[in-house]
Amino acid sequence: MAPFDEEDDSFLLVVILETHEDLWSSLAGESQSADIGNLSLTSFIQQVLVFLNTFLAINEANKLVVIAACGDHSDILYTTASLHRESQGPKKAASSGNASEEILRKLHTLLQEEAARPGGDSARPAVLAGALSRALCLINKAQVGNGGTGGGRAPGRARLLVLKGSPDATEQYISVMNAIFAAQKVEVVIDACMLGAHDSAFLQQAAHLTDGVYLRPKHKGALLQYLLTVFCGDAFSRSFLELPRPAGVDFRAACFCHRRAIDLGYVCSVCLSIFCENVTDCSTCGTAFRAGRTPALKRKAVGPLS
Amino acid sequence: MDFISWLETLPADTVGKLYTSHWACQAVLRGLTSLAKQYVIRILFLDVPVATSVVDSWTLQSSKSKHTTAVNRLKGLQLLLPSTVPSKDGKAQAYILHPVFREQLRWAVSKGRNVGTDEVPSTVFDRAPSRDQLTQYAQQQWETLMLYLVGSVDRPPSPSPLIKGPKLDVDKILAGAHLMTGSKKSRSIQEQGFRFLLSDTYSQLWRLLRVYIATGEERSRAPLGTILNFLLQLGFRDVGSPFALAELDDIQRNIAGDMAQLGLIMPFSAKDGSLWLAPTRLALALAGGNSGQLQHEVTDGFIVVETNYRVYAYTSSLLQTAILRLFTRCECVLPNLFVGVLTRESISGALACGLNADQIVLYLRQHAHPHVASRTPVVPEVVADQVRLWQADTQRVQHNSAILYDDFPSPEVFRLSAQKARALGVWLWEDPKAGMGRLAVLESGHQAMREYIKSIK
Repeated sequence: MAPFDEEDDSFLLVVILETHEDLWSSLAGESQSADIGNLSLTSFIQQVLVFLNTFLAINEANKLVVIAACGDHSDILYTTASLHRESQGPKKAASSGNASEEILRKLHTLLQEEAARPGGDSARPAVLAGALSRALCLINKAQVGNGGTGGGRAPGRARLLVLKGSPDATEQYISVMNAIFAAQKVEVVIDACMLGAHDSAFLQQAAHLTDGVYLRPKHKGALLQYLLTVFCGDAFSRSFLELPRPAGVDFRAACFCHRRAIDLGYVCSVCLSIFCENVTDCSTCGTAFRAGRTPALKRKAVGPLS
Repeated sequence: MDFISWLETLPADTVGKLYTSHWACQAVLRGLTSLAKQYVIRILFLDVPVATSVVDSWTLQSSKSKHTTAVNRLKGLQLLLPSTVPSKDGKAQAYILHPVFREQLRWAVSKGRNVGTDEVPSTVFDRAPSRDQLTQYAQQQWETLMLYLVGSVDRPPSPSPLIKGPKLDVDKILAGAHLMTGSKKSRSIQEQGFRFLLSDTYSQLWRLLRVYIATGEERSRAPLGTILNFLLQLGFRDVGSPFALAELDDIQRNIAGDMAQLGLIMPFSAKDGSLWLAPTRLALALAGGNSGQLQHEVTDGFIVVETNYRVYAYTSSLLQTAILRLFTRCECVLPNLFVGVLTRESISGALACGLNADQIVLYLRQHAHPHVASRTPVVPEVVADQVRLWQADTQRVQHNSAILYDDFPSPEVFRLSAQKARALGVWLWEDPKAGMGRLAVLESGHQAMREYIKSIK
């Protein structure tokens, strides 16, 4: 990691916002039983916007990208003007003034489009993997742009924050894990704030592998305070602050054949693919497991992949 | 000395008044160190005081010193005010955020930044200066000012012909900042002036603006807050997004004229003859912390230092070559390249001007060419060490005013006196063999020593 400069605490934050029915329903469902504060859709968006504004206010060089993950695609809601360099003229600069207005406008059109779509789509889980990959591409682009001339200053200056409400979609297991490993490789920290009723194994693993923070707020009405306290700090001040530590990480993997989350499974000895039942050949690498001899596939506990 | 350290020196009620502007509050937030920023935003939306024990538990045990520095900074800026919270045993110490600051900052982050988003007719945009023009203008004005300070040019940067009003008295400001002495005819740069030249643009800007703000009160009878607010607001505008001169009041118009002269804003006229102002990159430094400046520096790097003490500077700027000539011996100047050597003589010359070794090394490092900026160390260690050694060479002898005692009545009195001098920390030299002994102590300890010797005689 690049040494952190005490004076330069700016960084690039990419927020992935799940705009899926599940998120809204998980927020609403909580409000009936919660003792402290319920979080309506409006106040959820308000609080997130205040958080984003604060992030932009603490350093003029801070850059922000907001990505919405919907049922079947991801969409960029906002990008700091300086990130798209090629189209930089005075006209462009004037049109993108207020971050909150732009996010709200885009979100509104996006939700209307979603509603207008013929039914069936809304049942599909949000594309977390797609949004993650897109975010990593954006971060990579921004870092290559900076690091090209200035030397190795760029790494460690970007972070991903995932705001998620829906339960994990195990059918996305492979692509999500691949995105997480990619983030780990390029030293991008993934933070996660889980708003649903249950912990998300994906996000726990993402935060664990990339040295990020995973949080499932107890009092959702005070979301803003959680966001400001935990997710606003740059990498430098983070190294001094006490941050929530994970109580335990759900390391369960999903099998490659039925996408079920499993504790115990069969692992291919050649490519390490995971299966929930004994199969005759590996669907990933094509290795044939001959029956009768020492089984190549051993049933063993599925642990963290790294 | 930057904006924040300057605020700390102001009286509490002046600072309190400043916080009524949300521009000031945002600028203060940006100027804080990263840990202090986190503390402010953590308590920003709390209406009740936070117990000190809670605040203390925010940092890891290993970084307590950082924590104390951050908290003291916040207290010094009147941001953290002492308060109490009820606890098990009566009341406990607590902190609360400055109420006015809290309200203003809450308002600012709820609304998002929106300076420069006012409607600007497209006819104005057609005439608006491009980014390169802005940078060029800012550089030209600022460099002329520096060259004027060095004495390479006879005139300070010219005011813009577009803005009418009293001209900025550059001499007075430079003199006020203790950079120059003398009047127009016999100007001479002061020791601090050389040091000023080596510091980064951000500190230079604030040093001059501090004098500008202080003298502004008497000049235009505008209260400190008005000037500062206008300047800070300027810093929050996007570079190059124009605003109309007609919308400003008289005081602001004068300030705008002065800032145009310093290169912070570039005036231009639209097709219909109306006057508009576009902030340049220099203006960004007004409200930003140091970080914006750092990025600025990286793109502008031009110096390569080699282990053989040779300095290559890829620049055609008169100012930059003038600065380099302060501490290098010039070998040759090509149209886009300056080659100099760091020698013992050139460094001693610079030290005699009042510079010090660390400043020279820092200047070479901050302006490193992008190709060497990623290298560690940027300035070869052997060069940096040698520059420091040359400085140490000049400081081999130390001068102290001292008092010499002799003719002690007995060796015993001498022995006790020498002991006492050591205990007081003023002992410099002793010679027990000469007569009854001789003893030299610092002048500051004379009073105490005389009384002591009298008492034991």
